[in-house]
Amino acid sequence: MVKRLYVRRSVNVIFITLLTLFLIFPFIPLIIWSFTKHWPWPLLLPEEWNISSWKYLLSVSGRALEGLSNSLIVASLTLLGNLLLGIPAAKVLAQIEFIGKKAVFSTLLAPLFIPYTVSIIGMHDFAIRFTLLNEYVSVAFAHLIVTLPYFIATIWFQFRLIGNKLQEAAVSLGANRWKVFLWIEAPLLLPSVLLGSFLVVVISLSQYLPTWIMSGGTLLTMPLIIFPFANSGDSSIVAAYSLLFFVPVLLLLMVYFLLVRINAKNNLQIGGEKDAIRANKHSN
Amino acid sequence: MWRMNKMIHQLNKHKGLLGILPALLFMLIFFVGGAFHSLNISLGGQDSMSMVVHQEKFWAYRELINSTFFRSLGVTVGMAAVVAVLSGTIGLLAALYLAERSKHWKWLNIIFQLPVGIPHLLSAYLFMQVLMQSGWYSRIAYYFGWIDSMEAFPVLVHDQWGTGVIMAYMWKEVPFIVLLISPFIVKLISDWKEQSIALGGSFSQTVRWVIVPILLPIWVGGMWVVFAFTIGAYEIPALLARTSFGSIPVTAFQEYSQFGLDRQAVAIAMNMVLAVISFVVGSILIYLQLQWYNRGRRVW
Amino acid sequence: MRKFTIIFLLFLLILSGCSPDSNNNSKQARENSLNSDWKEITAKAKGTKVNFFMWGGDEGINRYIDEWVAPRIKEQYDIELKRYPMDATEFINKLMTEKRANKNSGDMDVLWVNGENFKTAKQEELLLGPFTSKLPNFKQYVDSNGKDIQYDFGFPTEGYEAPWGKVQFVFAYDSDKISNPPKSLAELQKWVKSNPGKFTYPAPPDFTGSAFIRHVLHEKSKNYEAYLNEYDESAIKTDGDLVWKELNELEPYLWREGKSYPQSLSQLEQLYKNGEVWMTMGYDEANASNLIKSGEFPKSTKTFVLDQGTLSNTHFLAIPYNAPNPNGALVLINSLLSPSAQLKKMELEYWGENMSLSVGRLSEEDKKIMDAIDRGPATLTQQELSSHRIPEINAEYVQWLERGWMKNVANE
Repeated sequence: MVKRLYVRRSVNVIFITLLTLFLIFPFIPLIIWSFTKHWPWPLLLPEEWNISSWKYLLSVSGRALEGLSNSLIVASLTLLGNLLLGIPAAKVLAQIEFIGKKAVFSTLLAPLFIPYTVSIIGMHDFAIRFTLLNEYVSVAFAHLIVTLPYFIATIWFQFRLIGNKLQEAAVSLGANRWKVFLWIEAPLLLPSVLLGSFLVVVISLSQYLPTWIMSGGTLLTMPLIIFPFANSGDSSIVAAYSLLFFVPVLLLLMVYFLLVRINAKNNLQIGGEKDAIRANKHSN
Repeated sequence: MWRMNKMIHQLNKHKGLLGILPALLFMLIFFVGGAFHSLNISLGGQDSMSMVVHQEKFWAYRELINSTFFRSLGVTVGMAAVVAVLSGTIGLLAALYLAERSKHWKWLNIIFQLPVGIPHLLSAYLFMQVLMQSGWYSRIAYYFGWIDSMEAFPVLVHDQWGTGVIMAYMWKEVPFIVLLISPFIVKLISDWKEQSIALGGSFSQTVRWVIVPILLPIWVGGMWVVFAFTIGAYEIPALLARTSFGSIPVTAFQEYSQFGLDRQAVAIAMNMVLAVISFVVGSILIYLQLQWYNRGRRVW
Repeated sequence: MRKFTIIFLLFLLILSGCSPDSNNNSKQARENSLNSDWKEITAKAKGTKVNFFMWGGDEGINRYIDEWVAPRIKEQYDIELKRYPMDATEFINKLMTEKRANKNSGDMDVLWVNGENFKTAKQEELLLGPFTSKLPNFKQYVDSNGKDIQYDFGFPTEGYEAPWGKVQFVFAYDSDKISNPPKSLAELQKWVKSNPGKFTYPAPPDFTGSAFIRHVLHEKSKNYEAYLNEYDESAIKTDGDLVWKELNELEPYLWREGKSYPQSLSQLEQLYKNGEVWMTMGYDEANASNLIKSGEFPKSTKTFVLDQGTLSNTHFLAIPYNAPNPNGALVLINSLLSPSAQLKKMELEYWGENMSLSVGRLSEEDKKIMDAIDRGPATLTQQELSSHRIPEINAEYVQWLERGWMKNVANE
């Protein structure tokens, strides 16, 4: 029995170690390439190092900062749109039964399950009619299409896990809709809102096609700057750009985990309240 | 009091329904509208402005009826299915493990999310750099004396079976599945672990009887998302697949961008076929899931 | 659900009803700029902004535009130049969609095009009109009767685009590994057979790979001249079969035994940099020198052309039909054609590419500057290059070859 457990545990450890290496290893040559121009086989590390790629990145021509800030502005707008459109929609889908719900649900999630190349080609025409909108806003619109389904699905699932009981209890205690949302649902939703927001921002940062279609290629976000290089074969510059691209993602990831942790701590208290509410309901 | 309740409930119901309108309208106009517009172009409708006037309406689709296309379709769908199932399985296992262990190794969670933020094109690029015969892994193998020339290193990109393509996709999609399901797993474990242990069950039983059934919709949904994405994306196969691999998104992209205006309808038609397949696969999945619930595995 | 449907339909109606901006003023401005004289054009261009859409995958070219051209045009004409990186096929597609939607005021002022893209653009009336006769520098320095100026991949330019530069196809090799580079495709074949796995070419429709198979056509065809003219599918069939036969014979000795080809020139260059293959190629005679200078290629890299010649082409600058600032576009193109800009472009510091101006028309001073330019250790002499030049064929034959390759060589 003990032996079997031991074997199983070591299989687990091997599995997770291999997977971790698989995930990390490709980053190592990326970091190295950004500091060298010439690195032939079979050298494990290059003989000549230089920082000219990084210099180019930060030069007038490199436009790294312009791309970074544009990307972040668009991602924030996209996130805002998701919060405004996504949470109410997910709430309705999770809590209310109505005719045609399945159709509505599948329409909202369609971009997840149907390769969106098709509608992006068609969207090209719509995009042209939206010239009056601000560039950032219209690009955020396109990103909203791509990200909204992820956001709605995540929030919807959490709403289902929460269920309706607590809210009913609160309503029976005299709370109105907003109070229910603010004091009961919002705290319980927080982990999934965080997850959804993280997904939204990360997906928005990496969009190429929707960005150039909506802006006509004039809003230079990070992918729009990097992609021409990815086809040019200058490994060093691609590597440097990729790493730069990676900085905001890494920061977001840290912030995400930090928030999740803070929330988990708070949740212990909320869990206590939950029990109290439960007890309350029973006594009623 | 009861009446009050009902009124509030009614109010909630209608106000709530309003909540869905903005999102729905948005999707209908842009996504569905865009798709219809594309469909129109692929049918050779009034919007096609090519010089060549095609008489028949369905010419672009008719052109697809040949053995090369069907073989490509098989390859594309098969590859997407392999990627979806593999990353789904490995992702689930990894998420379970991480949830159980995360107290000890928090940094593991971060490592597992690193690839999520990398665009697919760059991930293809990364895999090119490590997997090619003169790539970094081959250098490591040489350094340790496992191989003595670069030709001795196994062919992993541009290979017969699309190994490089599948690996690059897994690198992106396993973390995606983990990201998608781990918050729920963590919560479920904390909710159920004590209860099930109190009832005498082991962790693996908890997983089998409680966690997986509750997670099933989002897990299967996640795999479907991966499938739908893989079937339609061209970056990774374009860079890593062998020339005659025949991935449809790659062919469609070439038709769209290289062979002039009148071929664009063909490119859109190809994408339409893929969209339909993805839709059909999804419908089957939903049907199976409903069956499963009806047989009594309904959890909520 | 019905409510939704109605609202949806209403929205669609509103959307389709709001006709895109039919900005007549700017349309007139565009017509005016083709009719006004140069003084007027420069006066109107003052203080404006020009959007230059061009392929953005080369550090040197980008720096040439941003660091050399942009500050000078700002100083001289008070024009703000903004470069946008985008592939030619992408901006032509964009333009096509704009035309379809009747959008009369676009985003792009100057485009970098040639070949198939120019042909599509001209045939679909996506371009402003003939403008080269407006440009003082074009009139003074460009040999407008030259075939390589009048035709772009067999398609008449008719002043719709101005020549920006000329490039020639060369092969590059590592002289540490190859002492005697082949002089013809037959010799190349012999070399490939005795060094299996050390040669390959990018898979067409990649631009470079496509050019490589045209060299095979050139060597195999008895009547290459025929392909410079009107497209006739029956004309190329027999020669096509010879090309496939030759390439299929070569295939088992290629990199990866020809089971796969690099997807792009960049992948081929990557293989060359890592030492997997010993030869590479490219439609740019100075590229190898450039890459040696940046440290990406080994210093032992040299280039060669075939005895029978290698392809050369001209690339151009065009103005789209809905350019928001046609005056600024004209001024920019004119200054890109100035001897100083063209000579700077020739220097390896930025780009290293051959100029589109006629050397005979340069001033003595400029000629001296030109002779003094060091085009890099791997670049062949001007004499060697220009005596081994063959013209590009009609773009439709190019497409026929690309498709044929995919069918007969890649999939066989």
